[in-house]
Amino acid sequence: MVHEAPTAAPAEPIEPGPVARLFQSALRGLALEIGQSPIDEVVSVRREDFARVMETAKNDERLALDYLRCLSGVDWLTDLETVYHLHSFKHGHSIAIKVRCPVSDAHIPSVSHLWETANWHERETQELFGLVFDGHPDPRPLLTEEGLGYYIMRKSHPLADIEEWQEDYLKTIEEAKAQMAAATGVAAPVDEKALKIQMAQQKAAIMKKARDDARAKGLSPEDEKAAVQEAIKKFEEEHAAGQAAAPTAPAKSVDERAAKIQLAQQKAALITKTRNEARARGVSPEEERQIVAEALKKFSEEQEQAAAAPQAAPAQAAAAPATPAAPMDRAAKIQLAQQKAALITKTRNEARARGVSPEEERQIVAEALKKFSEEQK
Amino acid sequence: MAIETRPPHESDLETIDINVNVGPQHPATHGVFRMVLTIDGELVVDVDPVIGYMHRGNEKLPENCDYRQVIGYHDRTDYLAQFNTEHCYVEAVERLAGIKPPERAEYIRVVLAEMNRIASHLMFFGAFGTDIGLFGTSFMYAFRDRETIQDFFEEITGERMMYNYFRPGGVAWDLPDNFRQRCSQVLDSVERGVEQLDGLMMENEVVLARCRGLSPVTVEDGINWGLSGPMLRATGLKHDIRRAEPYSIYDRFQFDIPTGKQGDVYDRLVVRLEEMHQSAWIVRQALETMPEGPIMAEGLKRVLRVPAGEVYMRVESPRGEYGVYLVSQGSDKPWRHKVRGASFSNLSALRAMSVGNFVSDVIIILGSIDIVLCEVDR
Amino acid sequence: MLGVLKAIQTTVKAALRKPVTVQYPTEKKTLPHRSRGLPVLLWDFDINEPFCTGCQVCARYCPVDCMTVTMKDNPNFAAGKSKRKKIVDKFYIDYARCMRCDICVEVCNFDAIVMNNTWQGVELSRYDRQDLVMDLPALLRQSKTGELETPFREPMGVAHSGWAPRMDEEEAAAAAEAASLEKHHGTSPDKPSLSAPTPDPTAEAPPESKASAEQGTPEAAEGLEKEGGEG
Repeated sequence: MVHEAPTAAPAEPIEPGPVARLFQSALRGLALEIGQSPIDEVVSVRREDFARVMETAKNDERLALDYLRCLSGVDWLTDLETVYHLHSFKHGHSIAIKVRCPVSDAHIPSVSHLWETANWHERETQELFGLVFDGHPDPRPLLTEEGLGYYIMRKSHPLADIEEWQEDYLKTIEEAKAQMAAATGVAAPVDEKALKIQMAQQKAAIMKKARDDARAKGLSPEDEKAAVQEAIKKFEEEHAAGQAAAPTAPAKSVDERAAKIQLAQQKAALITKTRNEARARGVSPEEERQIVAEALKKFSEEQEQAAAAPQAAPAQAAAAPATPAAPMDRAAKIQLAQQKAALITKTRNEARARGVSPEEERQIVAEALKKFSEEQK
Repeated sequence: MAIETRPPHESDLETIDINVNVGPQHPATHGVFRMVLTIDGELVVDVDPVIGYMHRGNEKLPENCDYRQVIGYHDRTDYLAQFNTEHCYVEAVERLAGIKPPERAEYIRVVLAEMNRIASHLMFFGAFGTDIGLFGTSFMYAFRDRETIQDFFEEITGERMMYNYFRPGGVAWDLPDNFRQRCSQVLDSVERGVEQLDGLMMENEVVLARCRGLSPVTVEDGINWGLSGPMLRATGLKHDIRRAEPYSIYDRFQFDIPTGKQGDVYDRLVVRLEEMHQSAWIVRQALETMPEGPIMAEGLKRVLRVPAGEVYMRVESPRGEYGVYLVSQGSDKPWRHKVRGASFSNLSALRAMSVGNFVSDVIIILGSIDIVLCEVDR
Repeated sequence: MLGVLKAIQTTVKAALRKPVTVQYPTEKKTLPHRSRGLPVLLWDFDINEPFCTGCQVCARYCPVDCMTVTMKDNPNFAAGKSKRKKIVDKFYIDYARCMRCDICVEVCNFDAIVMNNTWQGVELSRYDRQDLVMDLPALLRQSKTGELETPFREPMGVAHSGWAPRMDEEEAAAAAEAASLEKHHGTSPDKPSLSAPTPDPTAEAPPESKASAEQGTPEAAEGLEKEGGEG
């Protein structure tokens, strides 16, 4: 989506209103650009003067703008603008203060020390526009815990094009069909939904064929039903085999999260073990705690050593299932499953490369698995 | 025989602060809102509100819609005060485009917005009752009356929640013939219901014991934290946008601005309860003087193009100051469309209000803010 | 203490009044005349064809883009029976996406679309979201069979006065034709900003209706439903 460039506002001088005049007298010597909106007067200030202007707006007796109504960011493509709508309960007047900064240097001084309520407004604007509010006490993203990584309210982040569903579905089905036609070897990742529809269509065709066959043979309705069901069953089995034969994702190296979970689990197991041992010896609760703490310390030291040798860590992890002394924990199970998956993929690919039939292929895989589990034992 | 019977004192025990996660799926959080409480025993040391579960891009979507299509999105910000939000938006567009809606449309808007305020406050009393442990009773009472208002709105607009009825320049279609009579009928039954709620809650020992003196807020703090609406009036500040900066035709009606004394939870209840009576009063005045005539401004183009400019329109919604900051570039869609949710600013004061209270009181304080999460996250 | 007694008094009073609820599935409230269910199309009994000419104005103004419309030459016009040069060919409304904003009703020049004010306009539970995509026969059914007795048509008259001035029949037909040309020759300046769906007239029916049309056996439909339901 292309956005039209903002048209420059007509540069005719506007007679400053009463509040703007107050600003001018309170801040002599500052370049204030006065504007007017249907309700409020608007004062645009330079970024260098911004902190001083806001301080004056809050603390000057004549202005006394003690209430921050709203803080909005505006994307002007080349510049980012923040608009502060202020209100004075004391004098009953309102004003909008605007400050601009270039997109490449999106920093604006924070005002949350003046108005507590600016805290959340600034956090939100920071997250949505990528404006950095310097001096903000708590600059975490507000709406998402970890931030989005992109700024959704900027004009450079357009809405996703609204899909036109009929055409889209038709297209996906056609694509799936084309892929099926060309389908030998590795199937490219296809839209799951299209696949499902396609599967249903295939099923329907098979049912129809089976029923027609049965009718042609002159079977009784019950037999016909049975025949149809058998055909469906056969088809489903074939499909399942095909699914199993599809290349699964390669066993990923243990990612960070899994490693963390594993570590926590190991720690928990260690704590339980140590505590139980200590209790069995009948020590006092203080001693028990100490023992556990020592064990934990030792464990974490070991971990650090392992981390210090980055090559050693995976090796150690890989070696873990090979020591079946302890009852296998969850992490080890996951690892084993991953190894198995890798083995299956490998064997299957080899078998395919030799061009064997699906039945043979399945057999080969089963044998490889059997061998693997024997080795494990 | 001397037996030492000293119970263990708190200071003898070694305690640590623990984090308690409340929500996002929790009946006391009024929507998908999460707060991480750090508690020392039963005492709340820190509150970290986590919002954003309901963020739907309600500011971004209107930037890609024409001015009429945006109205529907405003229903979906504050879904308990839809007419008030629509009122704010259409008023913003009208001020920017220089459209003058006809008298009758203004009256219709005011009547419906005030009725909606009553419905919203009823919802507050219902939900708040469950928060303080009145369980279903207050909820059922309040909902019975809110239901009559919703039925009434359905007869006018056809919808129960997402009305999409106001248009820049007027309202979508005229009122049914029996409007006046139906409206007074609904008002009578609702006011009876409000009396009942008053009897059930306001002098109830449970409410008094749990709400009075809880988390008092001073005027200065309230202003500094950005509170608005009943929350701010409860502190004793007599400020209502309908009176301070009259929009639409609010300058023609008489109404009082109820205020509290010390800004505690009980005062917020009192203010809201009294506001329902005031709203009913406004509606009755408007019904008496409502003129006949057109409901849509003349001379509108097929596609509304708003001249370049900006406006920050604010109205008094049941939750406080609901604002729309609209920047136009002269095209048929807004360039920037910012919604200032009243509950957004009110909720940001939750931490300051609840630190130092008990866990069960934090639930009450949260309930007394009367948040609508769709408006907080947008 | 007195407050508690007052509260109890209120409760006792409330216990003695009549219930305000209705036992819903067996007993239904009458919907108000203006009730806004999901949009349906109207049937012109005089000529036996839909009112809709397929001019796509509703699809262009729809905030959520839930409509897809195509138009074709009207065979009844060629036969001299109808005044409508063009008529709707395909009309899909995704009820799952519609937000019942009533804008399509407001902008329609032919009074061809209304919000359903019967219970069927709101009772629409389905097992599969795809079943909520309504095609032309489904949208016309209620009007055709007379179930939609008194659609609320007032808003069209009033709203047209302001937002979308009502056109007379010839003007509207010209506009419709212009709209159909428009999609081949760029966009008009009046076109709203949303990327309006300009579907290919040769576009086929959505997959599910196509599939069930091809294999109209009950088992096929069953299999489809099962598969779709899992997704």
